[in-house]
Amino acid sequence: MSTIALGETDIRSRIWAWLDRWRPEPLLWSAPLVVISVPFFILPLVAIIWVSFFGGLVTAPRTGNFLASYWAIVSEGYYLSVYANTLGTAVGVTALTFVLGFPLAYFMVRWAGPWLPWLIWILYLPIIVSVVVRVFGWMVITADRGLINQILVSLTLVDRPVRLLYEIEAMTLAMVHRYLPLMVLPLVNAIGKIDMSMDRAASSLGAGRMRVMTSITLPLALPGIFAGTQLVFASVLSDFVMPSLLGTTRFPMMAPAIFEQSVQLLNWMPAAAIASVLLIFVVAYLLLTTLTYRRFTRWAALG
Amino acid sequence: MQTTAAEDPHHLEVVGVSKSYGDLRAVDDVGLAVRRGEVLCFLGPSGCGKTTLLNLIAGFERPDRGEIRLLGQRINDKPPNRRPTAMVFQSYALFPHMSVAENVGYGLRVRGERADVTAARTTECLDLLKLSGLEKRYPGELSGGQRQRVAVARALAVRPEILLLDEALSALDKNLRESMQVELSLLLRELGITAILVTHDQREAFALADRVVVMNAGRIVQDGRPSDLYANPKSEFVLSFLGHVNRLAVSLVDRGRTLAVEAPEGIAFECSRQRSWARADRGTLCLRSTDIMVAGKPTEVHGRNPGTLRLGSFLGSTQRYVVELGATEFVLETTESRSSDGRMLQAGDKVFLSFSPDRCFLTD
Repeated sequence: MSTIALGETDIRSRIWAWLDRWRPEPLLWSAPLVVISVPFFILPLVAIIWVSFFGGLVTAPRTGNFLASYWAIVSEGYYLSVYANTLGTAVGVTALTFVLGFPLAYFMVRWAGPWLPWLIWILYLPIIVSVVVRVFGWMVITADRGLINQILVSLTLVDRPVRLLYEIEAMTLAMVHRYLPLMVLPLVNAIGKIDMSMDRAASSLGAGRMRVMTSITLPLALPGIFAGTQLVFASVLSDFVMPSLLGTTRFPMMAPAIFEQSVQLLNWMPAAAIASVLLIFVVAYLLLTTLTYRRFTRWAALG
Repeated sequence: MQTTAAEDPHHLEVVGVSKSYGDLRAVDDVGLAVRRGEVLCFLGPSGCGKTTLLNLIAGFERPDRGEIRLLGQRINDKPPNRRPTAMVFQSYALFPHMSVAENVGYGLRVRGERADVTAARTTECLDLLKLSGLEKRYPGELSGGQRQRVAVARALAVRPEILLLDEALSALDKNLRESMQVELSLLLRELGITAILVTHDQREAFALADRVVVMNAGRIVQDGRPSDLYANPKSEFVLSFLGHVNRLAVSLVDRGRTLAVEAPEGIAFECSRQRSWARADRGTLCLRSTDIMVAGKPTEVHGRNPGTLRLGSFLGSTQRYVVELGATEFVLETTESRSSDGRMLQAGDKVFLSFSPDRCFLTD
């Protein structure tokens, strides 16, 4: 008996020594995420990339070269306009959310005082309300007889209603509304970290308000500007709801194009190829901005 | 104004200035005149309005009433960037995204100075504060003392009429602070610049300033040269703010030009009436800890009864003794004393207190 007991403690101490050496706790903490994301996110992603080259899985085996679907989606003018439209919209919406979001974030941090938590809550509202409800709201506002047109017509600024709904205008408006919180929250965080004495020091040295803004506040808000633009840009690139429900087929975008190819036309290989291109766009943009960010904010990593 | 800056001895004038935040009167009817080249210090406990007064001069706050004049001109409504003042902050407020050289040259760049002038002045100011070689470093890569120097260099680079320093040395540790006090004091005199400092530290105020303005509850309670303030405080507040004070209840008898002071602890002496703010025949004897000595044998007039030494601490150049006399504990800081038989004083020894009547203060 005693020898067995010795063996048990021996095994136990060995296990402890092993645990001590490899310290698996950090991995254990991430285990729930791994359990969910490997089968439901990583594997489908790999499958999509696989399908884009080789077909199969859910559809007929591929025909022709394994790059055939890629060749199709980079040689046809239609697809090139899809990429251009999507990238253009992403740049436009990101720029608009920044132009609207920066003054708002600055106001919230510097002037709102005790109202800041309430303003952040109001800012969250678009996220809390279902995207479908918001889309219907924008339909009511942008329709030919909607709020905007009624105001424009009654002020006799226009003779007849301007077409906004099912055009780029309504889509852009709704996207700016949808993604504004993603821009403003990182900006609020970054501007909130800027010590007020920075502004005072700059103005004491002779800088006017505009100069303080451009030489101190904006550069110091760069971490927030990068985070905000990354979030908005990537979100617009992959947005499906706004272009499909508020946009127009004369201005096709990537996510609806993937939907069309896969679900409507059952062309799984080109659909998977467009999805992969979209993924490349997002990853390339994030890499590019992260590297640029490192380059411009070396100071942020210092004490 | 017909007078030129050279004729006008008052570089900066503060006339009847008040500033309130809600019900709090942060600065209450303050008047002040600063001569060119003078180094002035606002001294007071936290919340006494000294920083608000400095912010009013810098232009970060606007006075509710009164006038601030620089070189005879009213500057109440000028924003900070249009005033010829430059502030050094307690937190230094260095711009973290700019190198040391860019920080120092910032004021000149925003004022549209030529690039070669900016570069030359930057180098000059960096040399002045012994920062040469650190031009390319970022504030995040500097030690506390180096950051402090950069903050001073940055403010000096714009050649301000008046340099403002808001608790500029408080963030440094003690040794560094004292050596910076010496260096800053020398630098300010060498440049002949008008400077206004704010501090709550009496030693720092005395070390740096030509004139100290003691403030309490938004008002100036006394100002003067450090030595005058120390020798002749005009109120109990000023007395107790400038060093530790021991207090003892005494009875007072009017003897014409002098006052007879007596306490049951064996203290009896006469002193000049000018040393007393007391109005009744009962009062409080106030003695600075540095104005009392201990002796091994009775002292003639004012220390007949022995006290008990509770504690003797070695402080380097001086010794701190805690002496219990009756119900009162006296804390005194003095050179080392010996007992009557020549050995070192120990806790439990009987000792006698000794002090000079013209170093005492009498209050209500």
